[in-house]
Amino acid sequence: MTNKIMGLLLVGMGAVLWSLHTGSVDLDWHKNGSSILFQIRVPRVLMAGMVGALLASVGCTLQALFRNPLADPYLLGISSGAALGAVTGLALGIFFPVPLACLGAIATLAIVLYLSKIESMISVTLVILAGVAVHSFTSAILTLILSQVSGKHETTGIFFWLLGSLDTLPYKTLIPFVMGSVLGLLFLFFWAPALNLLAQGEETAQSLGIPVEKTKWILVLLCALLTGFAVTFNGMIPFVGLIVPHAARLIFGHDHRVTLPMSAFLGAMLVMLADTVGRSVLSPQEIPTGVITALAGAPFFIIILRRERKKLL
Amino acid sequence: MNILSVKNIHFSYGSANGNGHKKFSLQNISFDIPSGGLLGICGPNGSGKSTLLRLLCGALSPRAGEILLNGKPLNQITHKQIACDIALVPQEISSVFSLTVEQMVCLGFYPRTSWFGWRTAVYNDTLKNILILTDLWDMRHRLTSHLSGGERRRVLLARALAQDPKLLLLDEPTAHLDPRHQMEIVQLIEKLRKQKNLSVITVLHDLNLALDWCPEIMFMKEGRVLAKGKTKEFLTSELLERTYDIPGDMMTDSRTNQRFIHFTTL
Repeated sequence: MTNKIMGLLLVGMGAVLWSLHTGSVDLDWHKNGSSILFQIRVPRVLMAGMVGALLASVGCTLQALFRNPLADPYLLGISSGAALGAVTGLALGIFFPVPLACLGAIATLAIVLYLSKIESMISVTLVILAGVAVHSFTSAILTLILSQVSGKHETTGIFFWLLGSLDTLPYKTLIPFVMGSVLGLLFLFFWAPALNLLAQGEETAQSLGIPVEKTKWILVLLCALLTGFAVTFNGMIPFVGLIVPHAARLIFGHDHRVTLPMSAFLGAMLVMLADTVGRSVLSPQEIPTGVITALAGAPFFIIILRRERKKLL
Repeated sequence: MNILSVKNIHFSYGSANGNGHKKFSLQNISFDIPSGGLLGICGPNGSGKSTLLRLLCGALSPRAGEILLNGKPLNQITHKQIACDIALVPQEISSVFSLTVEQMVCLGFYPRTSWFGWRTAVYNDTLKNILILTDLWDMRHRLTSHLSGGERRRVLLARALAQDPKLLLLDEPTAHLDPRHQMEIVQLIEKLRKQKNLSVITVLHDLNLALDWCPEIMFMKEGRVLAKGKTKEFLTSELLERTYDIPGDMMTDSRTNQRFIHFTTL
């Protein structure tokens, strides 16, 4: 186990160096190499890593919480809720994208949970069906708003919100985002032992000493907030929250004390690499990050769907 | 000293005033379990036995009445403290993510470990003892989803033992087990009861097992206590018929003088 973690960390370091090195221009230390590295690539790589870590940890948490291998912030409509919140704010000229995105994420998640409740228990199947329905609805409204207002404001680009793409942010904006995300993630990791029990079912968790209702609400709220964060800065990136936790589970098993932090790490690596590929293959044009993660993610989703389809019936 | 006292509890699923009528799943249930005691709960399907177990371990809260654990009301104790004293052995593992036997048993340490739950040497010793006691040591690295029904049942019992409880709640501990494993589980629980003065409440469908094993039985029907008493004294054919609505016979084996219950199914 320790060997696997060490090995992955080494590979990760290599990936970070590669991502810093790769881009539309070669780094030349005699010209403006260091300013490109520190003003453009470092913030971008940091941002990509943060967003990936957020989405993957949220996905991992939701899967354990709802005991559903398909749970993911994108499929459950939380991402589109967050995007809708942020975009509505921008379109109406109110701004405050982060709080509005968090609000949107909380609202959609609350609707999904309300729809999937049967006699105070959240149905494992209904939560996905309700999530997909809410997701389609919110992203339709989102697209409608975007198609009406696009062009008026730079960040309302349809690509950015619907497929996710990273931008280079100034450190002034980046640092609060990174600090908030790190704090949120650490707080989430703190619940890993409880997640292990919740994954065994609410009754078992309760009988082993977890105050289930309270814990569930804390985790749901935290997931919505972290999704709101990720989406505001990066738009919706599909599938990261779905594939990465499963990859982490395949490698490290189902102990969330290991799997949850490792999901965050793998998520960070995936989005960082997807972003690097996206900005370098067709440079100077950029491919949205979401396109690359979906190209890798959709086939994986189909495999899981085939493997788990009996449980859904 | 009673480890658990149940006083006039009522419970209903769903909201108390939903649709204008209350449907009680449990009504007016009272009983006591002395320290080291063993109580069997029998009754037809849907009589509220499993619901009662959930109430006793704090997974559900009664609408009225109270449950006292060591003299303290259950709703004034944290879930963690309850889990240190009461362990529930459910019928099945209900997870989609499969843990290894060892990981599953370690979940039972949760109420007694610090915030991140890494095991210390003390827990490793306890874990080894429990795994050997439940005959799981050789399969400790296997996935629970790859085990047979009887093995999974032993894993759940081992997890409950890891909680080091004073009261064990068993939901049909012998269901789906072959005669040998039934015997082994019952003998293991008896051994623990004597060694650690463990109290046990067990839901049983096998009335002959209840007759042999439990000194006291409580019969439930439609969410109420139908009868409760010393097994040898109060179990009659008439009571069986009242509980299950089919004629049942209390018989005595002429050779061994053992009593047994027979229902004519065909």
